[in-house]
Amino acid sequence: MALGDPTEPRAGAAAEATADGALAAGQALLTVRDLCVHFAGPSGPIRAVDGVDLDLFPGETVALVGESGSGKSTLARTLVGLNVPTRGSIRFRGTELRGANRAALRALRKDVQLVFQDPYASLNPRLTILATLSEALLLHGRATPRDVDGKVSELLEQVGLDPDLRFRYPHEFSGGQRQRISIARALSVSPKLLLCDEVTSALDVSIQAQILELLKRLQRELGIAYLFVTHDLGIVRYIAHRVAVMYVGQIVELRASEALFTEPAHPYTRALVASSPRIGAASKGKAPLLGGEVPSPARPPSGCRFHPRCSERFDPCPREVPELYPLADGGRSRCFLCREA
Amino acid sequence: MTAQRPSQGAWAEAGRRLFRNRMALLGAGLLLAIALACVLGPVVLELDPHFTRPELRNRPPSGDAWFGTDALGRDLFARVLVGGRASLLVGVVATLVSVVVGVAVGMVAGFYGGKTDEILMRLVDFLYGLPYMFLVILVMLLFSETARGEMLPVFVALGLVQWLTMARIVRGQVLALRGREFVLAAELLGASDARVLFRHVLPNIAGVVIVYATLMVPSVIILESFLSFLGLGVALSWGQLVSEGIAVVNPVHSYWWLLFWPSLFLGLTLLSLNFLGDGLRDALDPKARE
Amino acid sequence: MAALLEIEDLCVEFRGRDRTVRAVDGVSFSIDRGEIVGLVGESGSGKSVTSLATMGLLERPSGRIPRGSIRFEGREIVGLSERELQRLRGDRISMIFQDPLTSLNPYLTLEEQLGEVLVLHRKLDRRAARAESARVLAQVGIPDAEERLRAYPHQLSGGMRQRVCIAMALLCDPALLIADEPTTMLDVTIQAQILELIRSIRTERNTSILFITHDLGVISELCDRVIVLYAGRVVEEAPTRALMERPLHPYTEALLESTPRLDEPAGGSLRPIGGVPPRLGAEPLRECAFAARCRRVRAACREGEPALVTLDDGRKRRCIAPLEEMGT
Repeated sequence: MALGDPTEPRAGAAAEATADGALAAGQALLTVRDLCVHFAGPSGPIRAVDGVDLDLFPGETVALVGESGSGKSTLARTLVGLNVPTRGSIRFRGTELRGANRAALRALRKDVQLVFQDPYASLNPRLTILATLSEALLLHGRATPRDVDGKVSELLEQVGLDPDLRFRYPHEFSGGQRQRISIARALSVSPKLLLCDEVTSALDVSIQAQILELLKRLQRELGIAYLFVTHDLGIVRYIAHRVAVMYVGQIVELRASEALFTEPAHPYTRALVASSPRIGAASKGKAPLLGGEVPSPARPPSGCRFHPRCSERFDPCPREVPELYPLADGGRSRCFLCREA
Repeated sequence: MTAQRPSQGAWAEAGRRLFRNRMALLGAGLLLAIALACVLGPVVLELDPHFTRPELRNRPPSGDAWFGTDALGRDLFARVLVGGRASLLVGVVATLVSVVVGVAVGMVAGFYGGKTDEILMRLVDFLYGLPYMFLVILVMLLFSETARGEMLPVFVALGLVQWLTMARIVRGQVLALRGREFVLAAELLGASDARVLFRHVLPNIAGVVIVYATLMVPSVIILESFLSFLGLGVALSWGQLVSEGIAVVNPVHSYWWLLFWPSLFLGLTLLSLNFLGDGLRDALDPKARE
Repeated sequence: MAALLEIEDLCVEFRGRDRTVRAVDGVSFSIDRGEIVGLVGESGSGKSVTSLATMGLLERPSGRIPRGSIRFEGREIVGLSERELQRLRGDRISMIFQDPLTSLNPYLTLEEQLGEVLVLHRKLDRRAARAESARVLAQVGIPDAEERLRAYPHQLSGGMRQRVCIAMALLCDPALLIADEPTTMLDVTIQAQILELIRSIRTERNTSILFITHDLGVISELCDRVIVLYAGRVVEEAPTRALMERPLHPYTEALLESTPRLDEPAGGSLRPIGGVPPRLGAEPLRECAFAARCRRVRAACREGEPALVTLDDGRKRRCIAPLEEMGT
């Protein structure tokens, strides 16, 4: 059984041609415009996601980076239907998802899947792996009761696990193995897009490497696109083609991965890159530390949300909200310093 | 890493843990013994709880009547065993009724949340607020005179009131499970609500339900006894026997056997159920997993 | 001069119903005054257990120390009574943990929690305790310290809470501060602030710090010396720079190779370490603990556990692969 559609274009052409968010809608897998997700809070709305525009192309990996309160996880979950957007549009291959009927949403389930962070809560402890993986296959008609066993075995092999393990229960597996199983479950419906929500954060470094390599290989073999939510910049540089940096509900920089690391445009990105601990770096002291706290999405600062902590703020920053201004290399930055005239 | 030993499901593991618990096994054993005695005893020993022999009334235990006789000369041993059938049956059936209704309501409230949850829980709160016995008596009185003393009205009355606690417990468990990743994952795969509820939620709350059900049986049995004091219980049950025993006790003649034997059986049954329930709780608690 | 902390051949076992797990097996290292020493390892390496053993905080009754010695300020602390350990804790040796939320009592104000330490160890009265608490809070970078004393933990952010925990640990000016993954749960920019704070503690107070983490980047930026643990054993010990540039144990090598680097352009590949760590029972291992996963493994590795060898430059390694081979 061929999982995934091999005829979709791979990462190469689509991702390198465009480094920012806006391009021909027909080509993009996912098109998000002005997406807002607000929750009711005790003292007003919590603007977890507040005006996000993003395009995602087949076969590419876009990393969604940010600290707590940035909205990256909320955004990922909203894209997959676990949260209801307050405003804005989400189009998957041209079909608008907001207000779509059940049939359309059901079809979406086949194309977009999510893998969670917690390997210990991601699998039903009462079901064998075979039962868990069969469910997905049978639900979408990708297997019949007769051949489902064989297909589950193939799935397990694809993620690097011994098919004989399918009769076991989740508690008999390690964290890394469980993540592989969760990935297998997500793949079972042959999605075009896989959202990975901090999928390696709960794993040891050596296991994390296994999972990252697995995801890379699957992308090569199946042409899946990834939206990779993480806080770890090392992983971002390793795995992503493009990066969207989020801060208090908004995207503040959207760049090709290499460009972002060699020459970050937004002051927050610079601080993030500078603050990230690196192997082989001597003791810090040279790079300026970012003071202050990460603001809460319930009370975002006025104007540019980063201005209270920004060492380069000037006159308009506390008052006006900057747009995502285009950069020379095609990226975008939400900073007045990047605004041309 | 190939399979070396057969995989152990959560139930098998729980079973093993239960087996290691001596108190639970004691409880289970005692319960079984009492149940067998009540169900098979009268049949095998050809006992008749209703046969009156006025000349032998109020006799203490003897070779002829092992537990003594009551005010109408009936063999207390026979009455205790046959009465046990009713008490146990009421305990089990009423609990079953409460489990079915309580789980259904609790699952729906916890899973759907929002208005559904609010409405259902307000209903539960309201019913909780009403005087318990008042409700039971009301239900009992709704049944006709001829049905008085039968078991069915008691099943219904007790079951309908007990489901409230079960509903609350189940709702709490379902709420805790609702946001768990594997439940979300099932929804993400496109599983229908019914499927998610029955295949993912229910098996994971079953443990808690079983424990609480086991611990609910004793309270139902006691409630039935209480009803017997009011004359609304089943015609022949342990509670009824205790009630009869109390009626004839006086400073001159204690007639201790009339109170002792039914109370002993009642007490032992309740104790066994509690031991078993505690053992089940320990066995099914996932935190005890190594 | 004797080191501040000397751990020698420490073994820690946990007795379960069916089996005994030896979480730490023969760990030895020392910490001098004013040093920041990093203890790095993955889950199951025994790093946390080592620190808990040092504080006498092993879970009872299952945790025991069948063998080994821990000398603090020249005094043996294994086998001390609970009372004597309590005198040491919070006063001479302090510890901060990973989750600042659960490290603080949600029902007590900061004043009450910080005050408790001062009253217990320094016998201060309430007013003096209050003043001292405010002073230390300000030192760890909490604005409006006097006001903040009246706050409850949940009213503070994660980074602030961790600062409070650090303040609590510093109240009696301990000689040794043990930090068990203190920044793992914090955002990157906040982590940087806390690491800077820890550096300043060493500089200003000459406090020794045992910093436990799985994050090699943090080790690289903070620690003077690194001890690498695997399966409850020390497999390598070296000054930080030397270890990162030229690891001498295959596990350290593999760990470095499997960590994605922020500074390196994409296109390389990570080399994951296959397999899983060995299960640790009470019997000694009959081969090198890393043999099953090591890419430099040879026949001799399976014949017995290698000893921890100290090299001329003071570095230590537990491996029989020739030095020239490392780094190829």
